[in-house]
Amino acid sequence: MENQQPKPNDYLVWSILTTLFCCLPIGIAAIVYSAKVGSLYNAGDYQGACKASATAKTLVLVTAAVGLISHIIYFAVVGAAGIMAIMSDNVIVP
Amino acid sequence: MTLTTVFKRVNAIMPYLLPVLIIAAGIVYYYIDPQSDIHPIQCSWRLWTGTSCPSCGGQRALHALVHGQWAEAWHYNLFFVVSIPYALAAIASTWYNYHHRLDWLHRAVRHPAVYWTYVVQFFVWWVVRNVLEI
Repeated sequence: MENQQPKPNDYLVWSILTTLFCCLPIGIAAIVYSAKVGSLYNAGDYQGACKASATAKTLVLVTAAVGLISHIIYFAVVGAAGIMAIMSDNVIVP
Repeated sequence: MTLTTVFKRVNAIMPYLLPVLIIAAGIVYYYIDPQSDIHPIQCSWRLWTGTSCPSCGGQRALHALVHGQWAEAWHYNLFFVVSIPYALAAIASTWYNYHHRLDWLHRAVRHPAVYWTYVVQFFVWWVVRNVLEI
């Protein structure tokens, strides 16, 4: 069966980058869905490919958001404590 | 503006933005030492669980790399031997596929055997590095 519509975006690059930078298993799920976009599209299942594309996009955004938020929390808590320790001339023992 | 449009616009500027980001990261990590006591950016996985994630060691590796210590850079994260070429192949075939010259690479990185290998290696490395503490 031939597809008339163009192939939906598979977000593969973003999926790989989120596994590299956000260190979370959800990034791997994004890769699996990215890959599904191409295989479903080639099999003629355009609706399925669009669904997989939307899922991949959501997973990429969720992974990026969770990674970013946990970094912000870490910076707010530990970073602030570290800066205060330096300002009060305490020696930090590693 | 829908999220899909946002992604489309970002994808359109990434071919020009990526080299800038890489150079900027190189400069920043030349001056920043991730192993100093006051470095505020740490992997969130390690932060919450105390174990290493598959990418832990990335900042130390980049710091070593821009100081010319190639051997040391790999030693911080052996999985980069797999993940960086895979990421670069995906980036090249998606953002730099001018005149369809990289269509073969575009198909190759999306081949089930290739991405399943990456997914399996990702989890195997995750377990192995925490067991062996590397």
